[in-house]
Amino acid sequence: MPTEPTPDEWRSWLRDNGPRFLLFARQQTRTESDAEDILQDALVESWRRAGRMPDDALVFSTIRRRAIDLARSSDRRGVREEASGPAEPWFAPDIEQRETQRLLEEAVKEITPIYRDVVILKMWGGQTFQQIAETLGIPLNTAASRYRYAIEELRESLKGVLL
Amino acid sequence: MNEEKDPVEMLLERMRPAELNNDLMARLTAARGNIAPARSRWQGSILRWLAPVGAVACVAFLTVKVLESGPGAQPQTAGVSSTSAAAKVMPVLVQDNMLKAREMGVIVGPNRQPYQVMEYQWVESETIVPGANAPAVRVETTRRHVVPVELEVY
Repeated sequence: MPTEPTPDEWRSWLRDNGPRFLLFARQQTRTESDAEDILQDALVESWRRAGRMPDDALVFSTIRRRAIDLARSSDRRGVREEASGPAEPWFAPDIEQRETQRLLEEAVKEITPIYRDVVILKMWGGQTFQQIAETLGIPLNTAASRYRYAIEELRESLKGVLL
Repeated sequence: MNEEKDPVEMLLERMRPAELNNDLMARLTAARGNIAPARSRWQGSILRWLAPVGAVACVAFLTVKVLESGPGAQPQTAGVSSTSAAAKVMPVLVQDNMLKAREMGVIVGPNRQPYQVMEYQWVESETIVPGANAPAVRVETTRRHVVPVELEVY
């Protein structure tokens, strides 16, 4: 029987972990509203399944599965909404390093999506390559190599700009 | 072994995912109520009505059995009578007949859970036998309840 968290426990968990879960949900969906819907459903489902505060890995894999289900069921809607609405920033603003931040965010957004999933889970999701492999349904070596490719793509795009 | 950090990774580590905006935070905060398995609208309605209806049915069944085996007191319908005459005796048969169920509107609770406000009206019929040889009297009272019914949120 799932235990409902107390309001304070729930808010604190959302505040601490919501941003990185949302960042990953954005990678898995085509619109901001889909990412938010998926996030809400996945958070509730993960708590229900765990019966208590869920592991991060469970939340990430639930986000991934729900996004795949959504993509299968609403292809046309996603395409229609894709172009609408301003893009939300993926990262918290850094007042002192505003320009550096902007260039980095642009570079991260330009990474090949399948490589970017791995970087997001590793860098901001705090996941091991083993957990990433399970979440994305890929072999461990593939997860590790996609991470390396992503770093190389970033190095290339930041060469002469930030490096 | 001292593993040197990649400069690209060092740049990435300086970034933090953006905070949830206020609207999303409010929405997710409200979603806490969905974690415990919620009773569906129909489960709620069934539980609300099944128990009293079941209780009335049991009382009616037992009463009929008692009357059938008693000294031949035949209940007769006397329409709506004064309740003061029957106030000193216990009813021997109680039966409820639903008159109407009407949707009055939707309200939203403090937990953002919407509720459909329903009005139910029914006639409560009590059959009373004032004495051993007295004829049975039926007293009818119209009753009304207004109850919130939890709506399922998709």
